[in-house]
Amino acid sequence: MNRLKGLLRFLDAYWFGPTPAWPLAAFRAAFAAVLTAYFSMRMWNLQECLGDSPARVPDLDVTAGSILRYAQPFYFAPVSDAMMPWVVGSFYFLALALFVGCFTRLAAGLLAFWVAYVSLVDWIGCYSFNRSALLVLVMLSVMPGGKVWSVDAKLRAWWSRRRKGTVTEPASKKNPPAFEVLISAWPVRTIQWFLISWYSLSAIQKIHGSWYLFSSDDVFWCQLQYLYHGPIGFWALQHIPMFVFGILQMAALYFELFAPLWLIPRRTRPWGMITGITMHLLIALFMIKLWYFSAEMISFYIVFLPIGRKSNAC
Amino acid sequence: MDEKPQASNAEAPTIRVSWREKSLALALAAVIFLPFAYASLIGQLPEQIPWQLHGFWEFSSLFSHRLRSWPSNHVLVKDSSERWREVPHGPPFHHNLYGRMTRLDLLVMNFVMRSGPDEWDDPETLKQKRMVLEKVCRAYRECYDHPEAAGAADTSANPIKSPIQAVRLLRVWRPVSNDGPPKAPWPVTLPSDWDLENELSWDLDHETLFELSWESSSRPIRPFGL
Repeated sequence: MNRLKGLLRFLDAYWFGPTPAWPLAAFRAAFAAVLTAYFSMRMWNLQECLGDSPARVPDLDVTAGSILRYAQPFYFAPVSDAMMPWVVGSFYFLALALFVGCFTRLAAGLLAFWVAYVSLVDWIGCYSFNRSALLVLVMLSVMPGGKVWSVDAKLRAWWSRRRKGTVTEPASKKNPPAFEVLISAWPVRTIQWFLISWYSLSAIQKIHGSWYLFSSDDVFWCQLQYLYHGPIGFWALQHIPMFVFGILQMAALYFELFAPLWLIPRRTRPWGMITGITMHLLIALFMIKLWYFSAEMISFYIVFLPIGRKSNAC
Repeated sequence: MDEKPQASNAEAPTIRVSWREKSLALALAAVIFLPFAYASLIGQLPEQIPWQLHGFWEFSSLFSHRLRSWPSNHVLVKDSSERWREVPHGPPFHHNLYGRMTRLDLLVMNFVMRSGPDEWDDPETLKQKRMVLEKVCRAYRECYDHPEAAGAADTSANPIKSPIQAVRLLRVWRPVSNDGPPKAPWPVTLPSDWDLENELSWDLDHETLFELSWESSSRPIRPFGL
């Protein structure tokens, strides 16, 4: 019984104990920047993505039993020419609000609606980035992402000073500098475990597919030749021995599968972060047009900072 | 949010979190993680979750398979000179969304290649697939019948001559050899030595996904029972 109570106390301290607020704020800004870059790239072909183009799938009235249920879960009409500037403008307005932390939760919530809407209008063009971004924005809409480094924090401080009738207030325990502001750890833990579970579940799916735990095979080597091949990837295929790709593939699989071991304990976390960021940089380098996906994944690593401070149980 | 730091001493700061906030945090974690894990481990979410929402949690499968050959989709048009010509995906599909994948590749992936038990016999599904592919073929016809309007101006020595007689969507499978590195980047066009008028010269595995013809003398072929 005491052990159970001890375990519950440990879990309570791990999930809800104090942690610095700035990694969550930094993640909020980084994620908003990545989101802006990705959707700006999509908006380069706005008419094809959202407008009434030949690529638009007509309303198929798909039912639950149809194999096409994944191709068109809902039918959303294309965006009209008159509405297009509003759709685009609202995105940049909300992304900027999230970036600077102005009405942070509201901005994240409305941005989640925006991402859900454009994803449903263009469902066949909606892949891992849209879907994961939607979940992250839902999370941010209930998290205190604007606690520091935000317009919200400035407004709160200004309002507090105005109520007390002072022009400036020295940093104190009640009004500490941004780096020392603490929040409950659950938002940081939720985002950390979102990345960790994504890695581990992805590795399990790879093992269900063609990847092997105890031999390297050549999945990565083959994938580099297909739809994502780019000039650097092609150069690498020509000049780097094939077994190196096998080693990289095994390293990626073990890193993903055992991500909790590399990214949670304080001692292994720096090495886990270096390995993970290197993996995503290599993906961005070798595989054409996957830089935005790598940027999204790297942005998650911000919530694993600070790596050298005793800020919480782990 | 009840976040009042209660530093009893400098080394062990504590923070008070209300039960309401803890419940909200745990509920959020459950909504995010449980369907995500279930979809990844079981392969499909339970029926209790509306099927329209399943896709939002299904994104963990990335580069999971090694294929011995890779497919590529090609568009052939038959112009007024009765000759088949390969045309690029864009126009009308300009956008390379993922890597070199265009929306045509995505349409084929979602509306042609998806199959399941008894699906080919389902007339409603076949009708829906046909509707999508017909729209694609009509878009190419429109594009090359009015090339200036569609931005498809053909400046080659042997330009495509309207009206377009037929449009064919072709899928070609190219083997991936692991004997050595590829000799050239992955091709996005058909092999240059293929005689498009004579299928006997086509040495790679291939299949006609769909063909729509406006010639009065011929009937549209109906692959996959479409």
